[in-house]
Amino acid sequence: MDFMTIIGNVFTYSLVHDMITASVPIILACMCAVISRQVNIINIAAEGIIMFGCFFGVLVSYMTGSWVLAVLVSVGLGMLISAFMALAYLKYNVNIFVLGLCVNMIGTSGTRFLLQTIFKTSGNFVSDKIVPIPRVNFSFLDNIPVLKSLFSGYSFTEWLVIPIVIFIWFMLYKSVWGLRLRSVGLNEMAAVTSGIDVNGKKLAALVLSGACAGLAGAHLSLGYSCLFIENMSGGRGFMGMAAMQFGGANPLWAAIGCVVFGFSNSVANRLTPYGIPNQFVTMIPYVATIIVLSASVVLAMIKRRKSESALKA
Amino acid sequence: MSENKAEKSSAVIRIAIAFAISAIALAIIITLCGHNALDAFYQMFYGAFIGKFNFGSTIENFILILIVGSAYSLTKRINYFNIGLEGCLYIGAMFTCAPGFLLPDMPPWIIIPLCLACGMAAGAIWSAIGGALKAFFNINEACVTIMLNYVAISLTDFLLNNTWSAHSAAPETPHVQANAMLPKLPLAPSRASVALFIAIAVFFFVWFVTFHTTFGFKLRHVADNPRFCEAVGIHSNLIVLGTVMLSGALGGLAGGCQILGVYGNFIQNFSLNSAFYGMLACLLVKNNLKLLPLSALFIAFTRTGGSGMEYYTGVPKSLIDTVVPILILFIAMDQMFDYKRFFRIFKRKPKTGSAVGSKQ
Repeated sequence: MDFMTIIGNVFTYSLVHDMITASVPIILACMCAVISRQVNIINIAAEGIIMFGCFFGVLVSYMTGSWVLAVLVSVGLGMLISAFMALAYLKYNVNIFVLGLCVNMIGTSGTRFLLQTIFKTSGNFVSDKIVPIPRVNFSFLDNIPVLKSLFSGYSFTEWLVIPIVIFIWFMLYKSVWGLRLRSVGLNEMAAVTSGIDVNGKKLAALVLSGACAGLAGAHLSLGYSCLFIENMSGGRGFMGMAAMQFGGANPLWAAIGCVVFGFSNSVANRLTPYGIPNQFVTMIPYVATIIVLSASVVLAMIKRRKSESALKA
Repeated sequence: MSENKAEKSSAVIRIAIAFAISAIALAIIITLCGHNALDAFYQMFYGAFIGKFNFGSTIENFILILIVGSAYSLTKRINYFNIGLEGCLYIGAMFTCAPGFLLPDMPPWIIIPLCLACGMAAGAIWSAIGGALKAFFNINEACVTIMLNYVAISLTDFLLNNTWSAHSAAPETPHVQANAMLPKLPLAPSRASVALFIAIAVFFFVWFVTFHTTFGFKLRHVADNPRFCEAVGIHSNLIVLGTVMLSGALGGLAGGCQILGVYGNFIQNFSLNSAFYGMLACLLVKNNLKLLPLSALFIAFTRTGGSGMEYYTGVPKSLIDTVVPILILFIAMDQMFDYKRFFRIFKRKPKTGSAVGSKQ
């Protein structure tokens, strides 16, 4: 098969649908990283909270048959875990990376333990009784396959992502609350001096970010798929963190970074059957993030040097 | 640096309380699951230490955990949060493996050091990326090293599927030549090898470097006060870079020991986050080098003992894997177990240190 045919088969209009589906969990995980980054906390615990969100989403949906309740429980659990993290970080001065590392390891092995004790299976859990998040279908698009593929068949949480990102952006950049929150991240001592409750703001940011990660987990197990697999977060929490760095902690730019991740993932998936090494495609977003991160810091450094020399002259 | 004795003993008591609470919680959970807790603990001990295979498996885990723990301890001392050891382990393993099957047959005393040196060099160069970005541009190391882990895994994935593929059913490289394998310890069915002595040598090397060399002296001070170090003529960024590269080299060595001592070839995803257990060993004792071998042995014990317990009593191994990070959280939050203040808990304590900058 020649190269152009493969390219033609890979880059079709349905790639857009794949790309959006793949990027939504990453966007939600990324919002977790964005909010905590705004108060200068690098939260690597998204991975673990997503695992708990996945498991409890499936559990509650299986037990009660209500996806709304499942999503709410996952979000609440995410908030609870990050409230505990905030207690450990703010009151007992635990290193935030140690905390994140431990939460991630507890998330992986704890859900495996719960899977084995509650459902008596290991590896994965599939059941007809799990009620997934409903998909939104537009029946009037059924006759036009291109538009149907582009706009129809997304789950409810996939549509919900757009208002969430815009809401977080609005809260951070257009509200007084957000201004104070960001000022904690930009200059903590100045924030204290102007009478802002620094620890309160950090607590609020961590709890909100936990809610986002919990939602990401519920979406991953009930919206993206309809089952629970061990390790199903698959590095999405870290991808979200990378995208946060890519977008400089601005929700809108970070969401675009997530779409880049989703795009490269779905292209890599589509290249696999053709025997083309897809590892480099998977690698691109990470390498790009490192380059963007370094470039932005180096540019800022050069700018500062220039302004310093201008002052001296 | 100089802690007084009372403070030290109270720290030990706090750690003991954390251990006790974790053990009691574990016992309660095991009982709730409908198993006998004492039996489970006995099987865990039996599965880790009694019998050649069990003890050998513990040693096999201990080797990796001690090397990675020592490597992590170096960077922890300069407050560099090196999550990238997993990536170094992959890269080091790959480049230890490559000379093993590419080069013609050689006597063991040439090929083994050559392979390990290649792996260490690869690990050092790989970690130098994160180290240089931190040292010269002050870019957060945690973000960079997490991403470098993924890049390292993808890179080794590519190599073992294409350039250096064994063309067998499983994604793996060819086996290294027989001479390159490290001799096994006399613990027959287990895979423990003489890499144990490499691990012990690495531990003493790290201890010697940290406390008995000029480099170690500079290293210990760079974390405390980088600006002071610059003022007295220590290039703190070079020290940071050097430490990170040394740590990466040891990470690569850990991967190399896994290849030459345990597997014999590079299998896809062979590590499964095992580097993180080395980091946990270091965090468990709060980077106290004297206690590191003990804590590495403890983590290795939980890893193998958990399997024995699962096999004989049916208590899932994942429960142990869950309790160990919780224990580390408890130890990190050891002020929570301040037994002296427990009696004064109802008194209102005066608010101190409310200004954020007062610590600096």
